[in-house]
Amino acid sequence: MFKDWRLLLLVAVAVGLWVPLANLEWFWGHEQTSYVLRTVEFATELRAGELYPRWCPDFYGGYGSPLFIFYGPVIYALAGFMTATFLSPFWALKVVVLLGSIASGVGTYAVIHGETRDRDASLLGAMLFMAAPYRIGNLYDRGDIGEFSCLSILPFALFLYRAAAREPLPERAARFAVGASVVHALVIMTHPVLGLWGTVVIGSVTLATVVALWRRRAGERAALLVAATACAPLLAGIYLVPAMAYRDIAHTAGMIVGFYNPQDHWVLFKTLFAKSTPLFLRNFLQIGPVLAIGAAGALLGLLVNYRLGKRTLGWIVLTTLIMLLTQPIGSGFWAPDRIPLAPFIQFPWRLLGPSALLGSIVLGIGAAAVFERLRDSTRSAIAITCSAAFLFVIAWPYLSQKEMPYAGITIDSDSMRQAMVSATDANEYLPGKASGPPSAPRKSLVQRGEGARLADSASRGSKHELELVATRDHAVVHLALHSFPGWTSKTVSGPADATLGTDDRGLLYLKLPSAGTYRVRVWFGVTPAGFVGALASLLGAAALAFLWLRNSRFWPLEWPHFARKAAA
Amino acid sequence: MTGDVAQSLARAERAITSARALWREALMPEAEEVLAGALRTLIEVWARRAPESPAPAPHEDAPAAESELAPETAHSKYAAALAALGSARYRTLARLERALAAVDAPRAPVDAGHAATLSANFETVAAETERLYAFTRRKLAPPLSPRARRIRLWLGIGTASVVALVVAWRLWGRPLATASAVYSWDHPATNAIDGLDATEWLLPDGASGWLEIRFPWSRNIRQVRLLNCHNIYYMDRGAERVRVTAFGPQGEIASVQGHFTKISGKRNPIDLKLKADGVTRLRVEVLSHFASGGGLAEVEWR
Repeated sequence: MFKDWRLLLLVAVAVGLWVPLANLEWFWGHEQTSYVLRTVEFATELRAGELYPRWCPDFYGGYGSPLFIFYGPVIYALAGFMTATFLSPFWALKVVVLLGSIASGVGTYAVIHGETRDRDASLLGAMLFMAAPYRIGNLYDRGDIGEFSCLSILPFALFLYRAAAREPLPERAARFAVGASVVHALVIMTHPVLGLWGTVVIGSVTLATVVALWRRRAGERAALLVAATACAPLLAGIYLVPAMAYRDIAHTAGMIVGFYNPQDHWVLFKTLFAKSTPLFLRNFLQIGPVLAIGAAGALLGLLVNYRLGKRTLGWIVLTTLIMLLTQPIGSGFWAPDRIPLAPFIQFPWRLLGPSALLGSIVLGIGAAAVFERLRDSTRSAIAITCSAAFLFVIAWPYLSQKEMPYAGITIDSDSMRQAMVSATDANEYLPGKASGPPSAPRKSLVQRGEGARLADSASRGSKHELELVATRDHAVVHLALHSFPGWTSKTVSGPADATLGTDDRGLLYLKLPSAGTYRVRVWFGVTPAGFVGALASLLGAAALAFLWLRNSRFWPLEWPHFARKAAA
Repeated sequence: MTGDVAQSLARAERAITSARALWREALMPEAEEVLAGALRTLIEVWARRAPESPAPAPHEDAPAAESELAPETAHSKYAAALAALGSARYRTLARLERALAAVDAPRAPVDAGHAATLSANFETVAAETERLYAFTRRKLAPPLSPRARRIRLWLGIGTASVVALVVAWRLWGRPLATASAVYSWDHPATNAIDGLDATEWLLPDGASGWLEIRFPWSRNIRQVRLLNCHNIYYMDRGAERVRVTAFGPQGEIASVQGHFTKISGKRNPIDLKLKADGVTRLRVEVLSHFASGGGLAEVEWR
């Protein structure tokens, strides 16, 4: 990789596009401090010994929130790990953004290079995607680091699936397929909404690839791709299953009403070319130029070199279909109760991200068709000139944001509890049994006791240890913790086993059967659906391990290939 | 690796690279042919490594037809290579034989009018070519390579272990501090254990409260040193009476009280004797304060 100056240039440009963010302490995107607060919570739980945190212990004044059951964990795991070990949450998130910025460019380069073997065309397409306003605006305007990162690793999944199909050697093909499945699972676990739609894009590309392989009697390769694609959501099961199972017992219905109703967020054709709109003063939905350049590249490729240029046609169809879903013509698709989970996209214009990626791939493939007719030096000169134009004309207006100073941003648990933060606007991750957010932060872990009092308590994140003195039988202590599936208790010592329950306000309580002193541990552990999801992930991992190993020298058995008998 | 083995491997590698390029262009039967060529090249390497065996003597009565002799010679050639591979512990000899038989079987010519498709045995041929290439490289590599590989492996394991230990220590090996309340985001509980006198944990105005330090593993404590806060520039905060309690897994172990005499701009410690073994938590309660509120600059333990 280091011998290819184009890749080095891409990495340098990716770093350059990140530098404006690095120069700010933090920034005033739409998300404001949400990602910072969530990262701090994830780090707090990591330091408390929870390897896959599901609970935010300091939100809602210490009553807590099951936010990480519903939010894709990848970004928070990366940033939370760095925060828990070496960095501040601000710099941890900036490092995540930097990695995403580099991944966008390198991933798109890899996809186009895999399709064309033309490095200059790959550079051109990758630069167009890096300059795309939606990609940059997702970060600088929206501050949606999750969606930004999801869009960054989507091209890697596409590249790996296509590489598995393009590889004649079975073991190498299996490695590509397994890698693709893992990256695909990461796409799903980075941002659930864009992960779902990214899966639609990946599925479409994989389907076309499988059909082509099947027609050439490469049935085993086709089956490998299908298996790998199916394993990806299985692998993500540890996140997906609880998120799906518990969405009805949080307030997630609030995600798609009011401002978040998808029916109110169409993208008009003119919006794709407008500098500003009533909703966004700096219109990062302006990917019209990106798509126009992609279309121009494809058309030129078809005219100059039809044999290679026709490879853009499938990608053009996919880009067009995805684009149409963002327009008013696609409104039927987003109608309530028509397609499961579809309305959770909130804003159909989220699909402009994958559209920009696909448009860039179209440009790369079209450019490769044209470049075949040109000399090497001419190709490189065109690629560099056009790339510079993309960056200075298209990307430049979006590379700034107002600074938010560190001062005033709470990044420690005690301050967050006092400030009653929740990291979302619509309280959609408030447990369903709670009628509303608490009115004040909790003063103590025990809110009130009926025949019992708190002697001592110690908390580490969502793990609590209480020493309770019950002065009568059947005493009850009401805890200042929101109830949700996953809370578990264990009586360390005491005259009997304490039992955990939920009161009518949606808070936990402990029932102490006999009078005496109890030491009880209460913690948020693996939910029942989380257990099922973990099994699904293990199954997916086992399937992938089988796909990888069956053609390798480590496989102990001779595996019969299902070869058809040759025709006489 | 001897010269002819290296040359053969290089030839096989070029053939495999060519096959991959042809496959990418959807020229699949052509890719299959080139892979078959790579397989034959690799088999020749092992055939040359087989021990010499005397050629069978011709019969005097009936001169053998050439067609009867040729298949037997071809089979002997593969048999020698297969025997050499067997001695080298190649695991899928039966599949390799099938692949070789498929490679030598006559093939129908590619018809330009039909779509390019693969033969029925392609997967076997491709898998064995890939496996035999990797096997040949591994087995016939120069004597020093396994040693260099071992050194790299242990170096990698060592580096990974050191990194893992450092990360584990940063995650779980450091004390955690929490408090009943804080004055602001700028004065969190962690300021009292960061080793810096200049940073302070402060309580809200007029409030008493506590700071708790949780240790990653239990420890024996003999003395606790507390440095008072003063809220630099304002000199309007300081703890007055304090109580330090040591907790173990079973609850409270020992407790001691102390007091500061004044708010001071200079380093203002008090040392409290606290003998406790197996301490997992240390709690410092600010029972009363000077001026606007209480807090602490540092908590140290010995």
